[in-house]
Amino acid sequence: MSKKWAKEILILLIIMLLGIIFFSGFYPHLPLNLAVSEHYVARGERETGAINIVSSIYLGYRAFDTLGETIALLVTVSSIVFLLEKKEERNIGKRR
Amino acid sequence: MEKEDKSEIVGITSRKLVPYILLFGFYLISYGHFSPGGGFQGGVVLGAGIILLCLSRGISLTEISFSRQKITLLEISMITTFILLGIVGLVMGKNFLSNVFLGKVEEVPTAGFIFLLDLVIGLKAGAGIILIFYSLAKMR
Repeated sequence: MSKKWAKEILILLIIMLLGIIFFSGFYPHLPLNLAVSEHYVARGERETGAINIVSSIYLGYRAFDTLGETIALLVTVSSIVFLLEKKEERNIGKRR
Repeated sequence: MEKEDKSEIVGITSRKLVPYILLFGFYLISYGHFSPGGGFQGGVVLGAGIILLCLSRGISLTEISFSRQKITLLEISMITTFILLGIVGLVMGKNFLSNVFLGKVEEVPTAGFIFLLDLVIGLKAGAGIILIFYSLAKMR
């Protein structure tokens, strides 16, 4: 009985710790969150060469994320084309 | 689309409007690192221009110049170019997708790599939207 309670309390503690880490992203004035954004604002132009700071983040610092986004778009387009062409072929088969 | 469906006003207006929409799309792509805009937005504007051409002139006329094979080839080659541009950074001794042709901020050709990536992403997003529209219109 006591072992079971200990396990549940441990799980609750781990979940609360993860929750604190997650919700700390909602407070932008914590020093944890301030460091990255201050670095981007202060040195973004020099390090990436883009005056637009959005471009300097999503194509300079986080270009790898953009590659993932591009692959997601490619998969979306190819799946839509694949599904619709299959349906078209089925309709043609019914008419014949 | 049949010939009786067409409206004269829509046809003439869209014929005058489409080149400027495409020009605006390329402006958004090529000035993505200077002003608001960028790859995805400019690509969507390019796709919207071609879709307007389809709606006004008919898909069969549009597919003569912007055929499905060409658009598919553009899409595939653009994503390959994106990965190759990332490998260029590795070859030059930096990280994957790092900015290798970096100039000073005051000079005009700044952010050479970001401009190239913007162009690649814009053409790819436009090609994807046109492909989705083609397959949706053929399903009808």
